[in-house]
Amino acid sequence: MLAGYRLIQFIPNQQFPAPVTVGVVAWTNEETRLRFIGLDVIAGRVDVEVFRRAFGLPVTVEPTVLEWVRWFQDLISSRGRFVENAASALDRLESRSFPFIADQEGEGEIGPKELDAFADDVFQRAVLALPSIRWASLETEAFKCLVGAGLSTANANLTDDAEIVLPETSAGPGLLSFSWFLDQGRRRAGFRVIDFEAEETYVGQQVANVLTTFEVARSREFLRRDQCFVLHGHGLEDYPNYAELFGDIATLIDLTDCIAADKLRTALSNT
Amino acid sequence: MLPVTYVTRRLLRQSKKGASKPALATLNAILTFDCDESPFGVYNELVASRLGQMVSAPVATGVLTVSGDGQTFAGIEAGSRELVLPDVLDLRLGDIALKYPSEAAALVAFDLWIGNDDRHGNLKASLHTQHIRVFAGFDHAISLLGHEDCAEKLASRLEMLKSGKLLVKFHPFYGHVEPHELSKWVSRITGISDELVREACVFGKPFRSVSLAMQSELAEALVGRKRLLPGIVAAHAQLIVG
Repeated sequence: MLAGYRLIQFIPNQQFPAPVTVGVVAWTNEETRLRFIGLDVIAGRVDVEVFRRAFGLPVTVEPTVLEWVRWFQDLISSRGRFVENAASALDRLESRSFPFIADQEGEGEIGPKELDAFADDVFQRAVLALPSIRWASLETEAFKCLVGAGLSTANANLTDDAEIVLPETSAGPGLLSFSWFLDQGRRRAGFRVIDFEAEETYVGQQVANVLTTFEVARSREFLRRDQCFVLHGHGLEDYPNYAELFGDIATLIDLTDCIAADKLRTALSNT
Repeated sequence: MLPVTYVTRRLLRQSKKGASKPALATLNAILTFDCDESPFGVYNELVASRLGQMVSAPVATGVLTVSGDGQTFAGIEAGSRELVLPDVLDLRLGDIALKYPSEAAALVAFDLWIGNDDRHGNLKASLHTQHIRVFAGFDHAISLLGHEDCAEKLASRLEMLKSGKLLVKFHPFYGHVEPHELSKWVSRITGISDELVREACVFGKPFRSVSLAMQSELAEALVGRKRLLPGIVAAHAQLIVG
């Protein structure tokens, strides 16, 4: 049977329209499916954190993003065939200068009961494969892991996007950048995130950057090895040399591991 | 009544002087132009905005600006903080009326008064976040003087306003409003001073294609219609309240 899809695109800046695909509506004559960044299809929950991080939006924008995701959900759940009802509402988005548009469409031949797989596939290729979205997802997972390990930016000890300036020495100035930095008096920890699913050259750049940061931190006796953490998702298995290299200077936390937060908590308790 | 919030597009410059730290910013606006389909659109929008503010109806405000061939109405885009909200979908109207019973009733009473039968789709409301409350109607370009393109039809429209005809046959909140809330808003409109209504409608000189005589006729029609409003609601209670 024939299945159609529309890409839901977000326009971060109306003055310089450069739409970024953030969701997919897929349909057949009988059914409709929605995939959207942060939408848990099974539980029906929406976590707009990844969306917010991907576009560098302030926390205050989250309720409006939630309204939009629910609006798309309502649209696909409305009675009648998608092409006869919801499609016209999606068409109108562009004419009203909304931050979302959905005019890019395509179709594919699928078997019975394959609409979910079809929607997942388009979503994976059109949305989740985007570097900025993957990075935002990784950062969100990393932060959840920190929270799961008992850390939070709500207490001032954990700083987001921390930049630490070390006293200048004969070796030059020392500026350390961390995704998060924990400073509880004598208990310190630096966290960096690496996207191992990125293009190979970019992975190399990230690794070099993180290695330099932790090397400087250790050589200046600012952090010990057990206070340096690398948080990562899929893809490290493709780089066994890097895994070995990091083993000497930092603790690797695999965010895809269901007990990642427990491992981090244990590692932190030993610092 | 809940104040309507508007989307700030850009914060341009903030002064370090002054207790309120004034800042130059730009807001999103939708411009309304007079055209063949809506020859009095700018006037209708401006007067509806003035009347809405007079009764604290939950309608987005706007200002006169100049663009293209003259004055246009810039309806400031209601929303929440940095992003514009989607327009309300029909299947959520019942939920919206439950979350905003007073605002829904206010919009029905206001639209009945100004003869606005174009509310469908012209509404912003936040529904899914309990602590964020946004509710605002917009687009009144074909209310009041309507969009009649000849003198006879315009006279007939004004006569209908004056005579207390229903005019709004369909409204998204018909069947969803609570009678006591509606009654409260009808009383508020009925209680407005005649002089204030005249001030809102009559500019003292012709405005675009709206002559002074048309402005005065509209004012008198609205003065008469606000008195008839309780009767209009009572006569059509089954349709309006359900």
